[in-house]
Amino acid sequence: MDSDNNSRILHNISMEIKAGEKKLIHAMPYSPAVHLLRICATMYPPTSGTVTSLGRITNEMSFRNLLLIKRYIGFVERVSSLISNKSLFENVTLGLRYHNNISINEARRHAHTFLLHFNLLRNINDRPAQIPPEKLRMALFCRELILAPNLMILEKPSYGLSRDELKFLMEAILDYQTKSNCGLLISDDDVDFFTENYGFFVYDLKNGCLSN
Amino acid sequence: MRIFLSPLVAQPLGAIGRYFLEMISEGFRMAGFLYIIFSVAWRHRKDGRKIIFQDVISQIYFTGVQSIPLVFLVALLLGGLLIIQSAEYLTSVGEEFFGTLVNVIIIRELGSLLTAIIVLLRSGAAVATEMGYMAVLKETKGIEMMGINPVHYLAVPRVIGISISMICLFVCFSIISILGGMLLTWMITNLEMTNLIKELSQSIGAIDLFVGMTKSLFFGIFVSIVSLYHGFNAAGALTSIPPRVSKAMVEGLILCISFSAIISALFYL
Repeated sequence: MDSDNNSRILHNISMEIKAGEKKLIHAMPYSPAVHLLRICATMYPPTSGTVTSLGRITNEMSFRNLLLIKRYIGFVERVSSLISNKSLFENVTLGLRYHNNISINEARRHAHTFLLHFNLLRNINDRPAQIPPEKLRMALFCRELILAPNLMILEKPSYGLSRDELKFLMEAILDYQTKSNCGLLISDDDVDFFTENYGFFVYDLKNGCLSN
Repeated sequence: MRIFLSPLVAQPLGAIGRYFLEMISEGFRMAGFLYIIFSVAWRHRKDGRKIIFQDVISQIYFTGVQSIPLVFLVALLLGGLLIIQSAEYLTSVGEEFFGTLVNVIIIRELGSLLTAIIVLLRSGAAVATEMGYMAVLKETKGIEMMGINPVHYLAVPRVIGISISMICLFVCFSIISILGGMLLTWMITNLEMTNLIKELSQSIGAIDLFVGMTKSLFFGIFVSIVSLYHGFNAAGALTSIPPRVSKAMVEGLILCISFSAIISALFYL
C-alpha cells in the first residue's frame, strides 16, 4: 500500500487467517495497522498483491459481490459509530433484519440473547447519543456478532473499555468463535493481555512489514 | 486568427464560463447518481424488503403526513390571495373566469411548484443534513461493512417516500386551495356557488391533473436526488454540511422551476 507521496506504508505482507485461528497484530500508536485491517476487511484493495477472502480474490470484485463477502466479515474499527438517528435496538438488528428479511418482532426474539449477554437490554430504545461510550463499543461488537461472521476483525478492542469490560468482551467473542469456528484478527498494543489470557498468535508490525 | 481580449473583459467571461461548466458537470454527476439509485433499486429489489418498506413508510409519514398543516396553511392562503387579487374581475367577467383562473394557477402551475418548494425546504433539507452527518461520521461505511449497500438502504426509501408524498401533497394542496378560494369568493362576491362548481368541473381536464401529478412525481425525484447527492458527498468535517445543504436547496429550487417551465411549454404552448 502506498501513501500520497508514493512511499510504501505497508509492504511484503503475507498473512493467512484460517477458520478457528486467533491472530494479533502488535500495533504501536500511529502504526499503519488500521490500513492492514481495512485491506483484510475488503474496505479497500491493496495497491499491489491480492487479498483472498472466503476463498475468493477480492481485489477486482464488483461492489455488489464485495458486499456479499463483507456480510461475513465482522469489522469493528476503533472509531466506528452507530447510526445516530436510530435506536440501539434498530442499530444492532439492522444487518439481521436486512439480510434475513425479518420483522422487528422476529429480530427482537433473535437479538434478545445477544442484548442480554452484552447487558444492553436497558438501553435498547436509547439513541447512541444517550448511551455511555463503553456500552456503545459493546453495541458495535454485538452488531457484528449477531450477523454470525466467518471472520472477526477488531481494531484495538481495548480502546475505551476497562480491563473487566475487555475481559467480558473477549470471553463473549471467543465463546462465539468456539461455537462457530470463525477466524479472529485483532490489532492492539496490549500484547501481554491477549497472549497470556487467550493464547493469540502475534505478528509484529514494524516499518510497514509483518514479522512473527 | 487569434482574438486578444483585455483582462477586464476576459476575466468576467472566464468566470461565467467556469461557472457554467461547473454547473454542467454537476448536472452530469447528479444524473449519474440518479442512474446509480435506480440501478441499485432494481438490482437489490429482493433485499431487505421489510426494512426498506418500513423506511418508505417513515419517510412518507415525515414528508407527507407531518407537513400537511404547513401545506394546508399555504394552500388556503394561496387560494384566498388568488381570489382577493381577482375579485374585481370575477364580478365583471363572471363564473367562467373562476374555473380558468383556478385551473391555470393552481392545478397547472403553482400547486405542484409550491408543494415542491415546501417539501424541498422541509424534507430536502432534513435528508441532506442527515446524509451529510452520516457520511462525515462514517456511519455509511459501517452500513457497508454489514454487507448492506448504503445507497439501497438510505437513498432508495427516501426517493420513493418523497415522490409518493409529493403527489399526495399536490392533490391535498389543490383541493384545499380550491375550497379556500371558493369560500372566499362566496364571502366577498355575489356569484352563485353552484355555478362556480360547475365551471370549475368543466375547466379542469384530465390532462391538467395528469400534468400536475407528473410534475409532482418528477419534483419528488429531483428534490430527493439533489438532497441525497449533496448529503452523500459531504466529507471531512461537520462544518462541510451546512454549505452542502444550502447548495442542495438552491439547486433543487432551480431544477424544479426549470422543469416546471419546460413541462408547461411542452404541454400548453
